[in-house]
Amino acid sequence: MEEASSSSGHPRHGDPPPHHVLGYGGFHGGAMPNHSMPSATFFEQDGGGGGAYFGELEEAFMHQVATFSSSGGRRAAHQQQTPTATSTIAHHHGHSNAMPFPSTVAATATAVVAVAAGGARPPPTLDIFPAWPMASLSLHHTPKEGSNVTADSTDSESSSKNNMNKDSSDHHHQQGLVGVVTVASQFHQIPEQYQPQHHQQKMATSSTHSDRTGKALDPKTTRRLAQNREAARKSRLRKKAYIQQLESGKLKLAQLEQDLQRARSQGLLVGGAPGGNSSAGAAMFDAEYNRWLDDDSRRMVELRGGLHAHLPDSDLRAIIDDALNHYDELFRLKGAAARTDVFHLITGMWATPAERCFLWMGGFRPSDLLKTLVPQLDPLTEQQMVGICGLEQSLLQAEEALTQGLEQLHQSLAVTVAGSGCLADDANIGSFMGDMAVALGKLSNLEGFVIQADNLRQQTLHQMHRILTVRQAARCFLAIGEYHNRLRALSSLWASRPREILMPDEGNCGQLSIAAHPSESQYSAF
Amino acid sequence: MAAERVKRLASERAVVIFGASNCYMCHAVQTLFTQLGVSWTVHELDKDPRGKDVERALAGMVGRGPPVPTVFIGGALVGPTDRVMSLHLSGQLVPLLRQAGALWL
Repeated sequence: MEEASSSSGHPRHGDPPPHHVLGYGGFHGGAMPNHSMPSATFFEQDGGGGGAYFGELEEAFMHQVATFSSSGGRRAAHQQQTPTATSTIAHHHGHSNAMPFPSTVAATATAVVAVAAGGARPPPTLDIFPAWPMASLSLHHTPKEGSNVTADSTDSESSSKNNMNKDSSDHHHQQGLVGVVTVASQFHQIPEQYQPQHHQQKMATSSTHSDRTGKALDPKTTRRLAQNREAARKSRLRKKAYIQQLESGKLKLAQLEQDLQRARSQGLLVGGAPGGNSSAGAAMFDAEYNRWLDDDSRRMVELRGGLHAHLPDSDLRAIIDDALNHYDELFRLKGAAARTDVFHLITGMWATPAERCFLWMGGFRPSDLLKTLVPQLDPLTEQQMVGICGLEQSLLQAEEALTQGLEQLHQSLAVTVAGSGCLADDANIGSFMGDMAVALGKLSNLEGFVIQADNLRQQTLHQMHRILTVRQAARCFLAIGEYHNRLRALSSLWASRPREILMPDEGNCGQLSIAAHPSESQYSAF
Repeated sequence: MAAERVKRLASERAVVIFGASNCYMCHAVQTLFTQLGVSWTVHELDKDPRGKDVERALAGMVGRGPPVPTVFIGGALVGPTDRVMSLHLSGQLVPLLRQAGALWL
């Protein structure tokens, strides 16, 4: 019956059912701009709503006050209903079961504050019913249980204010309900305690303002409040999802660190994880290679200085021999790396992308380097030319031999991986493991090819050193160093190239140039 | 015993390669000699009943590295793949082949 009466007088009947049932409908139906689900606060223990509750009460009271002034005719209805409200509240106070209580309380509240639905914010001047009405007002209770309720709520109010967010939902229910009850009862008390005209006077002070603002904004404010509720609810859900994401990410990170630790403690990993550079052997080689690069650039500087200074051949020769030894060291490092992580070398993950573009068996292709260098080494004697041509031809044959051997390995490996049975059928575990074992054996041949290819590179450098004069050899080594520097620079430039149309032209400071295609001079080094 | 067998086998032809059917580097070496126009003979040790002994003997001759492929030219030990390749790059392989009669051009 309360429902019926409340709904009849309730302009906010269109509210979604939870709101309606939970009633104190006016409370949440009213101006609750910050809290979308005060009902949730009551009964769903939503974390964000805890502190909002009492503000809502205050606002609800404002509305109640406003409504009272504006709808005199309904006052009677209210007053008629409030005793019912109080009694029902009192009646249910004994029950700890929140369910029936809310509905009744809700109905009551709706009845009590029903018409207050007008959404205008209470004028700041009106502070008759502060957020904690129980604390400030002394209450007279007609029903005995009502006094219990109020007393409880007084105590619970302050504690609930502090503990709202931490309480269990039941407790929360209790306190919330009790709070509401207290408010409701208090509200009820006032007309009983004081004469109606007092009430009317109080109403009057606020009425003018509320009257001006309340009714006119009803539909708009209603909508705004509903939107605010929705927004707050969505943001709460988003926050939950975000926290969940964070926690799962944290778990994943901890797991990855564990795996990494385990892998490291087990020593060098062959093949590494799919992540590429995660094997210990690969990481070690990368570090050693970077150190080698630094050393190499130092030697190149020394070589260049020696050339420009026109050092005697003996001194230059010493520097060149040193550079050659340094290359030998590189191939030693690569050989060791091939035995621990051949995939790292053969996929070129140790090199920059542009170098990788020209990758052949885990490094540069010696015949290509020779073809690039020869024009730079002019003038060459005829004997030197013959020597170099012979070197190039032998190199091509050796490279072809290695390539063919590797090709045969590829084909054989493909056959092994495909297995003896049919790939589409259910794999027989026995044959799978057998095939894997054979494939593993074949894979072990890869390191041999990388090592042989490195041998070709090393021998090429030694032969060049043998064929060329000291000064030519110096320029040759400088050219090799500079060529690879340019490839590395190309990689960085490519990685950091701007994607927009306009970009600053490094060559001419300040000028903009169209960079839609790499036609700029600094990009056409090769 | 096995070493003598190796010597004997190596002297039978101008270019003798000791390899294995599952050795892909052996295939690379064979390809190189084919490119040079040299006819070669390969003994696949995994198909040889006494292959293990030969392998052990070769390992002793070659030292570090895999025992196969090992190349003999004119009965004399040349060595493993990298040795053959280095010789070729330095231009010494072809004269060696000519000397052994494996190459006439």
